[in-house]
Amino acid sequence: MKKILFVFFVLFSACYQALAQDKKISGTVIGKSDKLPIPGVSVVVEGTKIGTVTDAKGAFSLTVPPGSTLLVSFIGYIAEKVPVTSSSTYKIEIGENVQQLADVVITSFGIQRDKKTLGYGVGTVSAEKLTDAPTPDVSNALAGKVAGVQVSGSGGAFNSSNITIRGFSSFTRSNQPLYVVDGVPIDNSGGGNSVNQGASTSNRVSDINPEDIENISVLKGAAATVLYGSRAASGVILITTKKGKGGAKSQISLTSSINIGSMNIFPDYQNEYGQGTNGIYGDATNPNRWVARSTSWGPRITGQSVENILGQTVPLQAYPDNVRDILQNSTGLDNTISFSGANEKFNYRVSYANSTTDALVPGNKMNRNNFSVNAGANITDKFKLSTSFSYTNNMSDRTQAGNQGANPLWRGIYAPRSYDVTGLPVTTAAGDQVWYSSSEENPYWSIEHIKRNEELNRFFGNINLKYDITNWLQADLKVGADVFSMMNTGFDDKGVRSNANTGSAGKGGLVQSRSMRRNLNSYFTLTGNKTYGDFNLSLTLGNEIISNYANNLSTTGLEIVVAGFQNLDNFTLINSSNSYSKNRMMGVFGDLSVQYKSWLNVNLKARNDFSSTLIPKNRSIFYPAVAISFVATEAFPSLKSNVLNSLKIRANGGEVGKGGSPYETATYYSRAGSADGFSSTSVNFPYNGLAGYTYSNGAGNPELMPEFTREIELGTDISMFNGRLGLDFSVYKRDSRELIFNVPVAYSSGFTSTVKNAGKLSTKGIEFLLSGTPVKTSNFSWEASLNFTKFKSVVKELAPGVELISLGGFTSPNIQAVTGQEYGLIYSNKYLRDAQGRMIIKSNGLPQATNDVFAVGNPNPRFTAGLTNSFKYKAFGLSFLFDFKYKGDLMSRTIGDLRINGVAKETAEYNRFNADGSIAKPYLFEGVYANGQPNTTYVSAQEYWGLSGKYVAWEGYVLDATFLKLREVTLTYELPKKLLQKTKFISRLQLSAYGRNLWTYAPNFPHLDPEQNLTGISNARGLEFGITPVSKVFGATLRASF
Amino acid sequence: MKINKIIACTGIALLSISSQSCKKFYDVNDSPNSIQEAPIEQLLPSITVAVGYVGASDLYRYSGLMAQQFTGNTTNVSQTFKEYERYNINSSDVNNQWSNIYAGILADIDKLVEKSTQQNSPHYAGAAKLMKAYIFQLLVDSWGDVPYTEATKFLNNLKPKFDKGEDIYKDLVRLIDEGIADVNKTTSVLSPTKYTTIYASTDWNVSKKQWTRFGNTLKLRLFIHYTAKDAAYASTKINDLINSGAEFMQSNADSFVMPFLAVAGRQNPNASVEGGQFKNAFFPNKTIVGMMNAKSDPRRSAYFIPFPYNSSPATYKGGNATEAASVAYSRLNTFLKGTATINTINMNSDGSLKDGSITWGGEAPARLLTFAEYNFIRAEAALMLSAPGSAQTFFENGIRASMLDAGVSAGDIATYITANGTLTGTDQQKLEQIINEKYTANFGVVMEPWTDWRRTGYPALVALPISVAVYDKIPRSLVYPQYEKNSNPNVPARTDMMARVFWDVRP
Repeated sequence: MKKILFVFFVLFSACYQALAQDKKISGTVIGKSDKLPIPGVSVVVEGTKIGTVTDAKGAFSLTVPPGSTLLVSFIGYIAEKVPVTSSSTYKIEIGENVQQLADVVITSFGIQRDKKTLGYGVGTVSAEKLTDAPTPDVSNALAGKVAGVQVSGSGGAFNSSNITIRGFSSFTRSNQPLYVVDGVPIDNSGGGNSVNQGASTSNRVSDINPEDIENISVLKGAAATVLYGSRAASGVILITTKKGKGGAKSQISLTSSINIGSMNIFPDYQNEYGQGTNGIYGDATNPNRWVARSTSWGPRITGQSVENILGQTVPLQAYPDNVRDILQNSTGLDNTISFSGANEKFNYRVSYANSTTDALVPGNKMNRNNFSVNAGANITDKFKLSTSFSYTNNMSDRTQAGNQGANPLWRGIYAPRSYDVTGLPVTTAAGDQVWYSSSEENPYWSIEHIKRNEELNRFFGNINLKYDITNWLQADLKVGADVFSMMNTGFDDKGVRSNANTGSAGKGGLVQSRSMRRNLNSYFTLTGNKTYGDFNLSLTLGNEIISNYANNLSTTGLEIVVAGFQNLDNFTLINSSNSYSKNRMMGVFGDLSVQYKSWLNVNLKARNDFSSTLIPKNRSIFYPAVAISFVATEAFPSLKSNVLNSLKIRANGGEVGKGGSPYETATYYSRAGSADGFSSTSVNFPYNGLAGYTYSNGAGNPELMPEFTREIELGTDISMFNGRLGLDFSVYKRDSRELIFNVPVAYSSGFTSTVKNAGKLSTKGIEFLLSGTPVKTSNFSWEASLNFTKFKSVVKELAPGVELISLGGFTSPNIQAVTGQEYGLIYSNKYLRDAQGRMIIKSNGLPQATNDVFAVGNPNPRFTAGLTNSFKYKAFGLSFLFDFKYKGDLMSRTIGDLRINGVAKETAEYNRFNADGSIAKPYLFEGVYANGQPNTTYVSAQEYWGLSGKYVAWEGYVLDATFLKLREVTLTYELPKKLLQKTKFISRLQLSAYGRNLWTYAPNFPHLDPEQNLTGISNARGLEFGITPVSKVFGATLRASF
Repeated sequence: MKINKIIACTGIALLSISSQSCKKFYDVNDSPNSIQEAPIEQLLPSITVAVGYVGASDLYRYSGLMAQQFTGNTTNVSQTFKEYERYNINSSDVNNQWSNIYAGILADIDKLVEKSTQQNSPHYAGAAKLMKAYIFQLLVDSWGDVPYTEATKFLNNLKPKFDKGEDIYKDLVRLIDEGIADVNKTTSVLSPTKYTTIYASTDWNVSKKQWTRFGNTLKLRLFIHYTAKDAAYASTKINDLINSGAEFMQSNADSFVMPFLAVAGRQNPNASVEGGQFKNAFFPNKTIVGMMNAKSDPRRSAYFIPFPYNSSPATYKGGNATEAASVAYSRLNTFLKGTATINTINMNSDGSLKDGSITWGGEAPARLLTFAEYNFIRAEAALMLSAPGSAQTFFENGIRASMLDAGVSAGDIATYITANGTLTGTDQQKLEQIINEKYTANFGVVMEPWTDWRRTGYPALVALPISVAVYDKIPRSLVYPQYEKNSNPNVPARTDMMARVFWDVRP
C-alpha cells in the first residue's frame, strides 16, 4: 500500500516543462462591459498546444511563433481570435456570452461539458432562477422549473416537496433523487410524516442555503446518472456551490430578503347556522343548553339566548373569523453575507447566512445558520487543491401534524360557527382544557403545551486534489464527509388528550431522540483527453468508496409528574431504544467519450458496484450505458440557416443497478410488542420485568440479488432564429426489474412479507423545454420558457400471485401499487353500486358503502408544466412563473370534515329550514333502491353531507387536485453601474419585490390549497388529513456587492 | 480487475487510514439491532402478552359490539367503533388482527415449540400448545375455515390451504391433550415459572396445575360449542371428559386471564384507548345495561359508572347505534379499565362526566376463559347434555364466581341469587337463564358472548335496523382479510358476514 502511495506522490510532483518559443508577447484580458481584468482566461496559439492562462490581474505573457493567432477563450464569454502583430503588448476585450453560459453543463464528477456533445438530456437551474423568489428549502424552490421533474408540495410550514424525476423506479423504497453537492453525495433523509402522531419533518437537503448555490444540474436518465451508481436510480440533482471569482479586488456580497405571508386559500364558511344537530342547539330536554358537539347543524342564528360551554347565557352569534384568528401571518427573513475573491494562486468564498421563518400556525419556527467555505489553491501549475465545506445549524419548533387531535387545525378548522375559539378561555381555573370536543386539544392549548423541536448540527464538505499528470491526463481525488447529529424533542404536557408526540394515553410524555449520521465518500478518477486528427477521445476511469453509518438513540418518558416541566427526570416511566445501520459500497467505473469532428459523439459508460448489503456471491453489480449525439447542422452545414441554427439528435440507453438495504439477508428476532392501530393502545416490552422477543414478520433473504433500472431515451436539441427559439425534447422509456421489496405473503404462513427480487415497473414519458426570446431590443427583452413533464409509471408485475401492495396511509384508505395499474392508487371502500354502476340507495334516501376496498383515485397528474416569462426594460426586470398540474386526485379528509360538520359554505346553499320551521330536504342522491326503482327520497343537508350520506364511503372524499398557480412573481431593479461608480464602493445593487403562491386556480378542489400530502415525502401520495396551511407570500430582496 | 482493486484499496486507505482488507470492508451486514436466535425464556412472555392483547383489542371489540355488550355510538369524530357496531367491518379492518395472530402469536408459538422440544423443555412447549389451541378456537369461531395444518410453515408454504373449522376443532382436542401431557412431564430442562405473564409462579407445580385445568376447561368450551350441531357428540365428549377425572378450574384464581399493568404502554386497551383520539368512543350497550338494570345487578358499579353521574340511587345508561350521536352514557369502569382514581368531578349539564374527572389505571386483566364461564358450561351440559352435576348448582356457582370477580359483597351476592339464581320453567327457558347470566358474567370476554348467541339465540338480541346497519341481521362470522386474499389463492369466497361457522346451525 505504501508503495502505491509513494508512486502517487512521485507522479504528483513530476514537473512539466514547456518548450521554448520564438517571440515573447504580453497583455491583459478585460471584460467588454465592465472593463475589469479577467483572470483564468485561456490564451492559446491557434492550432498548437502553446498557451497559458491570465493571472489575477488578467495579465498573461507568452512566447509565440511569428504570424500566429491567439485564441482567447473563457467559459461564459465569446471567444476572440487576435492575430499576433509586431506589437508585443495586447489589450484584449472579451464579451459575455449569455447563450454560451447556458450551453455549459455539469455532468458527473463536476466535469463541465459542452451541451452540444451530450447524448442525454440534462436540466439546469441557475442561481438566479432559484432565488428570484426565495424560499429556504431547495426542494420547494425547484417547483415548475425543470422539464422531466415533478415537484409535489406536501403542505406549508417547513414541509419539503416530493421530487420525482422521470417517474418511479422503486415500489416501496425511496424514489427521491440523489443530491450531490460539489461532487459528493449528501444525505437527504427525512421529510416523511407519520399519519397519526407527531409533527411533520423536512428533508435534509433543506439544510443547504439556496444563496450558496451557483447552479443546479438535473441528471435525469440512466445514461446520465450511471456513474453515480446505485444510489442514483431515481436521478441526480447536482448542486454546484458558488466559488470565488476573479476580479480586480475581493468582493463582499450581501443579500437580504424579507417576506410576509397569509394562508393562500382559506375555507369558505357559512355563518348562518350555529352549533347543533338537526336544527337544535341543545337537546330534546332543553334546546338551548350546551351540548358538546362539533357540528354546525344547529338553528339559524338570530341572536337567540343559549348556554355556552362555560354555562353562561349568551346570544347565539356567528364568529366568522374564529378559525382565521388561530393563525398568524407567516414571516421570513433571510440574510447572506459572503466574501470572495480569486487570483492566479488562490480563490475563496466564505459566507454566512441566517434564515428565520415563522409559519402560519403559531409555534412553527425555524432558524437556520449556514457557514460555508469554498477555497482553492493552485499549488503548482499542475497541482490544484480545493475544498468546499458547510456547517449548518438548523433549529425548528413544530406543532403537531396529521390525523390527530393535537394538530391545531385538525378540529380547529371546523370549529362550530358559533364557537368563539379565540374569545373563550383555553383552560378552566383548574387547568383543564376548554374545548367543544372533549377528546381533542384546544388549538391554543396544543400550540402552547405540545412541543416538538429539532436541532440539527451538520457538517459536510470535501477536499479535492487535482493533478495534471501530463497535458492530457489528469488525476482527481475527492474525499467527502457528511456528518450530522440531530436531536428531536417532543413534549406532551400534563392534560394532553391526543396521540401527540408520545401516544402517552393521556399521561403526558417526553421523547428525546438523537440520530447521528456519518457518511464518508471517496472518489478517485483518472481522466485522459487526446485528439487524433478528427477524433477526440476522453476517458475517465474512477473508483468510488462509500461508508455510511447511522445510529439512533431514543428515550421516551411517560407519566409526567409536574405539569410543564420538560425533563426526563420529571417522568416516572422511561423506555429507551437504539438502532444502528452500516452500509458500505465500492464502485469502479469508466466513461469513454469519442468525438468525431464537431458532429458525432459516442459515449460509453460502465460501472461495477460491490455492495455490503448482499452476500459475497451476489455482491458484484455491473451496469453499462451508451449515449450518442449527432449534430446534423455541423455534419451537413447546408442545413444551417438563419432559421435553423443548430439541430442535435441524441439517443442513449443505460442501466443502473442497486443493492438492498442493510440487514435484509437474514431473518431476526426483535423486541416484542402488541398494537392494534389505535396508537395509544400499544403494549410494549419490557413487561413487568420481562423481556420479550418475537420472530420477525418479514423474512430475510440471503439470495437477494441487485435490482436494475434500464432506460432508453431519444431526444433533440434545436436552436432557431439566432438562438431566439430553442427546443429541448426527450422521450424515454424506463423499466425497472428484479425490484427488491418486501413481497407480501399470506399472513397465515407466519410471515407477512419476504424480501425478494420481484416485479417490474415501467415508465414512459416525454418532456420538453421550449425557450424563446420573442422580443429583444437594446432596452427591452422578453424571454419565455415552457417546460412540460409527462410520465406514466405502470406496475407491470409485482410478484407471482401478488396483486397489490400497500405503499402507506391507513388500513383504509391507503395508497397501493396494483398489478397492471398506474403506480400508487388511492384505495378505500366505495359506494355500493348495482351491476349497472348505479348507486344503491337505502329506503332512507342514503347511500351505502362496500365492505371491500377498491381503487377510488389516482394521485398521479396527467402532466405538469411550468411557464416562465421574464421581461427586461432597461434596469427593470419582471418575471413570473406559472406552475400547472393537470389532474391527479387527492383524498381530502379536511374538506369532508368541513362539510360533515356543516361549516362549509355549500352546506348552507339551500335554506336548511322550511317555512314552518321543519328541516328542509332539498337533496336527492342519484341512484336506485335495492329493487332497482330510482331513488325518490329527498334528504336534509345534514343527511346529505353527513357521514351516512356523501361521506359514508372514503370514495366520497376523492377530489381532482388540478391547479394552476402563480408560483413566483419577481420585479427587480438593478441600479445603473454609472450611478454606482460614483459611490466608489458599491459595485452592484439590486432591489426586488417578489411573491410566491399569489394566486391559485383549482377548479375542482374547494376551500384548501391542493398541494398537500399527509405522509410528506414518501411514495404514498394522495391523502390529505389535517392540513398544513400554505402561505401566500410577499417579499422584498436587496442584493448588493461591494 | 487487478488495477481496479489497486485503485479501490488505495481509496480505502485514503478514506479510512486503515489496513483492513477489502473483504472485511464489506463485512458489516449482520444486524446490530436484532438477534438471530431468541432464548425460549424471552419468547413465551411475548406470546402470553400478545394472547392477552387479542382478548382486549380488535377481535374483542368486534365480538363485543356484535353481541351488544358495547356501543361505538359517540360524538367523537373517530367513528371507527360505531362503524364496527353497525356491522361495517371490512376486509382491510381485519388485516391487523389476522397478522397479529398468524405472523405474531402463532409464528412465535411454533418457534417456541420447536426450540423447547430441541432443548428438552416440554414445559414450555406444553404452555405454547395450550395457547395455540385457544387461539385456533378463536380463529374458527371468528372466521370458520382458516389455515391450520399448513399454517406457519414460513417459507416452506407461503400459500397455506384453509382447513374446515370442524376438522380444526377435532384436532385442537388432540393438541390440548399433548399440551397437558407436556406441562406434566417430570423432566424439563427449563420451566416457564416467572417467564410468563399468565399463570406465573415461582413453583412450577402451581403453574402446571393451572395450565392443566385451563386445558381441560378449554376442551369443555370446545365441546359445548357442538351442542346445537351434534348434541350426542357433545354429550359423549363432555361426559367422558368429566368422568375421566380431569381437573377443571377450581376458583377464580384458575381463570385464564392476562393481567395488564397500571403503567403507560402496558395498559388494558380499554383504558389506554381513552388516551388517544378514540376517547369517549366505546361505551356499554343498552342491551347489557338494560338486562342488568332489570335485575338491579350489583356488578353494575364495577362494570359501569353511573349516568347521570350524580344520580342517587345510581342509575346506568347504555346506548346503541340507532340513537343520535352522544356521549351521554355510562362509561366502562374498573372491571375493564382497572383502578379508578376520582379526581375533581366535573359534570356536563346532561350528567356525563368531563374528561379527567376519573382516571383508570389500566391494570384490568384480559379475561380469556374464566372460572365463571366454566360453571355456566357445566350448568348447560348438565341441563342439556345429561352431564354429571346439578345445573342449578353450577348456575349459582357461575353467578357467584362472576360476582366475586367484580368485587361484589357476600350480602349483595346472596340477595341477587335469591332473586335471580333459580332455574325455572322449561329446559329452553332454563337455558336462556343460564346463557343470559353467562352473557353478563362474560362481559368483556373476547368472542364467547357472540358465540353463545350464534349457537343458542340467547340473549334474545335484536339486530340493528337496516336504516342504521349494513345488514338487518346480526352477522355470523367475519370477512376474510384483504391481505390474505391478496396473497393466498386458497381463501374461500366470502362477500359478507352472514356465512356461518360449522357449529352455527341454529335456524
